[in-house]
Amino acid sequence: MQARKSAEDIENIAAAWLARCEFDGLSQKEQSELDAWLCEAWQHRTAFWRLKAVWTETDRFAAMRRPEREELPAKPRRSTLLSPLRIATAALAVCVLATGGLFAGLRNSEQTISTALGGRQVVELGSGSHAELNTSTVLRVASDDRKAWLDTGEAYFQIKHDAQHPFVVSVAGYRVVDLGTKFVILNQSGRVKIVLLEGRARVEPVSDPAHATTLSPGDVAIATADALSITKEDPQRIAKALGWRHGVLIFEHTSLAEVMAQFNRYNAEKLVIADTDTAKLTVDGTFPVNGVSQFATAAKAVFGVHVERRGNEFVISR
Amino acid sequence: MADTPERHREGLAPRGWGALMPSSELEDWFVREVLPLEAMLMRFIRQNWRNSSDIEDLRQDVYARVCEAAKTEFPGRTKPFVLATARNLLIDRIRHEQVVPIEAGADLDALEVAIDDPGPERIAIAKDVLRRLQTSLDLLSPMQREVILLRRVEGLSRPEIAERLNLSERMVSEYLAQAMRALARIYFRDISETGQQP
Repeated sequence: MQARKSAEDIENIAAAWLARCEFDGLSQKEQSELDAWLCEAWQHRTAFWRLKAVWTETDRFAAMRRPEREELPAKPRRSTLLSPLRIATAALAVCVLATGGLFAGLRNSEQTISTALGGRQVVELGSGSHAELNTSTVLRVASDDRKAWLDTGEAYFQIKHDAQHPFVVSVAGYRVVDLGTKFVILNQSGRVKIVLLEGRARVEPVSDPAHATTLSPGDVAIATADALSITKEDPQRIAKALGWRHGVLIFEHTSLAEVMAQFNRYNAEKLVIADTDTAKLTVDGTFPVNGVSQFATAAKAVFGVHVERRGNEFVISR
Repeated sequence: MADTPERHREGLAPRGWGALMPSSELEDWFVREVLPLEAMLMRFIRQNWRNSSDIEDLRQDVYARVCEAAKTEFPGRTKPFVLATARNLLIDRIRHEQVVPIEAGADLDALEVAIDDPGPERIAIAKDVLRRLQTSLDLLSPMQREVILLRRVEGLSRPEIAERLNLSERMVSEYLAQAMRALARIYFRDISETGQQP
């Protein structure tokens, strides 16, 4: 215990963060501070989870509320059902990964779950299945939890197979049918990319289900309105591309142009690269998804580039 | 998760994150399977470690070790796993710190017997959560209790609570943080102990 922080110190910090979440929500900066603190040690994470678990349970006291408070209209978002902490959705990242289970009985008709720019959310789908939504994503889920529509954005699905009730995601004219599986679907303005991590899944054009293709692990399907092509991708690369599930972007020999595109998906603050030479620099490292200014600072130090702040843009040049 | 091929997940370990298991899943498991064992774990540590000021640190280190191990694969049976982790931690402490704070040091092997006993803790804690919470609430300091009730029952904001209790907003947050800690401590301990002050 000498040099280490005592359990009491750690708990105090965890409790202070939770109290801040509860009353104020977290700014992007605070969220990354919290993420960083949680990343530091398992002791930090377990202390935070433990306090959060009990605090979440105290939402049951709301049952003692006077009736007029009960009549507040229920929002369609699951987060409000699953998580009593009243935090802006954008700040959800680590703080309010839904506790699931407890409130599962509250579900009713089809629900729309959406994330804001930079947001992330876990959606419990019952019977051991769940989805994780990335930034700027809209997912609709049928009341039976076995049908979903990815209207836009990106989602990771981890589905426990049930042959009687296959899980089906509809996306831009295609259906993805799970055959016991983990997969990611990205729908960026009609350009659909499906990556299969484990198990198998069937992809079929809605208009022509007979022309279905079955994906195996490592398969990447790119689907446009009239064509479906399959390529293989290295599992390591696939795993790195999923860093967002932990709130980070992982770069490995990634061009600055791609780094820019990645950060800009998540943040209102945009990276701008002024010249093509700079765009070709390659980057290694791991950054929080909202770490735009942190990245700009690092780029300045490592590459000796100029970084200029113009409004909400960071302009990087030689 | 035991069937998860590791290769798909490699490279996802930025700076010590719960890299293999999605953190949400690990957290769910921890809350569902491990936390309900806290009373039993604390009893175990207390029985086997004389210096009572170390107990909370030991508990925290057990949780850290348990989750770190579970991030690759959830153990088949949680209770024996948690107790075995606790026992190993106590043994490590005795060896590395060269302290022998327990007379029972020689008896650590005998603890294996206790580890296999399937206790009723989980079931007990799942029952009547609200009653348990209310019992816990009664043991908080009056100010801590007020802040929780105003927040959860009345749904008041921080400025509203501050005004109602004639406190600064900073103190409202401070009381809430204290209340969260105290509540967790009371909530997870033995039902038989809840009659005593924390």
